[in-house]
Amino acid sequence: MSKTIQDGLWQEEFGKPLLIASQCLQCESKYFPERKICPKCYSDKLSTVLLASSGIVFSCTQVFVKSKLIPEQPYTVGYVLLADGITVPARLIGDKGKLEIGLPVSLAVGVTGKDSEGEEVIGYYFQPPNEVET
Amino acid sequence: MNVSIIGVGITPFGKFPHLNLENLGFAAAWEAIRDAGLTPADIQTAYSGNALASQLFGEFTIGQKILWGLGIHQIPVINVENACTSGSTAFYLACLAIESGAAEVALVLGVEKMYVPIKKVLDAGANDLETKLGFIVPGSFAMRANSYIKEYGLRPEEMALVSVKNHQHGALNPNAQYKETVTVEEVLGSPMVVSPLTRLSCCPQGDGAAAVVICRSDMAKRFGSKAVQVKASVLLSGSYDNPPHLAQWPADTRSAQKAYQQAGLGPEDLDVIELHDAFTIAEIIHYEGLGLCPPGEGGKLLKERKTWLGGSIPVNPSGGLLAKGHPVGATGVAQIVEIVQQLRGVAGARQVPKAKVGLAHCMGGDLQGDARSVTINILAV
Repeated sequence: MSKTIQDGLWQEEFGKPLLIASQCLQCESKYFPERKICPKCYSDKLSTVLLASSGIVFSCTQVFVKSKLIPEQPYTVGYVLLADGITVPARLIGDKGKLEIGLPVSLAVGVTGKDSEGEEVIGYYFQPPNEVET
Repeated sequence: MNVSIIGVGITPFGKFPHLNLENLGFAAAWEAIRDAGLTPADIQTAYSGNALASQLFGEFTIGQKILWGLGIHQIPVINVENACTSGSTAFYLACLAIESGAAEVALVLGVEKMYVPIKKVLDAGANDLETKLGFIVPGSFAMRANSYIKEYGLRPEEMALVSVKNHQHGALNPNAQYKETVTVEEVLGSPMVVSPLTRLSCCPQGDGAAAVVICRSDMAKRFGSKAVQVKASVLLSGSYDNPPHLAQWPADTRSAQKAYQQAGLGPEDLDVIELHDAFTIAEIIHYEGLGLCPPGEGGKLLKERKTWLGGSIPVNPSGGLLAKGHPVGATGVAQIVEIVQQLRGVAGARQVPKAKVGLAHCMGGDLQGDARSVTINILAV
């Protein structure tokens, strides 16, 4: 069993991964990853919620710098604006020519790279819907 | 503020395999103390900015070590780490110390050695989720560039002009790491680092140190025209709104407003600016954060050459981070040294004529779409 990029980032619901977030019970703001205090109203009453599995690319960049963590060169990272109205940072995987601001993308989970010891790491990423594995 | 700068010192910036942190820090601090006409015995407190020595050399509390080389001991010495604003945060704290009456004369040092024989990749926030996902520091600027281009239609050739301008300025600065001019074609044709930013759109790594001596303004009178007043000194963290505003830094706008209010001045009063051009796009966005032009018009300001030497508001006459270089912990202090030299009228070939009011802006780190730290210092004669 490979290790995950970080604990508590997503969970499977009916075979589909969804990102785990916090929602402030007072002002309803959502945060990913989870947090204990709402920075908008300073309330410490937050509940765990699951985020929408799709959104659009908010911004992105192709990284040409060699990375110990990601063998693929270049690779793409960005922020995805989810239907919940918040952005999440993510790897973007798919046809590089098409990964650009405004592109609809969906969440997936799989091998995204390696850890500092060179072991495979499972992470979440977003990809264009027509490239989602069935 | 009742604070004035009475001495400045700076080393050349670049790759100096034969020099260590102590050599660099010593040179800048000694020059600043001598420039103030003081001796090390006159320094009552010191703030030393450094960002990377603990990671690169396993060093800590280097301020005490460097200052001991000058004989300075038995005073409060505070080491400051605040990413790229380490040095300017040290300056901010020293100003507070003078204002509060805790000290009458303070030394501010910024020092960094990034060029090491065994090339080490800088792990910025190795435990951050973004870093684990593959985000790297230049990437956050690249995403900003892409958002800005999408929102305002900035063209790559226009963005490259930042690098062209700052290299042209750097060629006039004997302390700059790069003294060669570059063309738009060279900037765009250099290897891609993070799209759309090419190597010549990014600042280099290097070594260097800078220092200033400050004191209460009423004591500074005896230094005559060499003394430069600190009109405002501001430090703020970001607001981290979500969705983020990637075509601006909210922390810039807030810090600038606070600094202008503190100084009783506005952007129209500025004669010269040093700002944090770690990447080409950053300079354009900072123009807007500082209120030099409305949002989206930074490219126009640059194209009309208003921010070039000879223009109405020259920005980064030193060459900026892109050409002068960016030894992280030294940068914030080096920007202040440049403004002091401009206001004293001793900046040589890169002198802005009759500069009376100058602003130094520095930005450190990125967190969820805003800066972790912004400093703005407004100086005047």
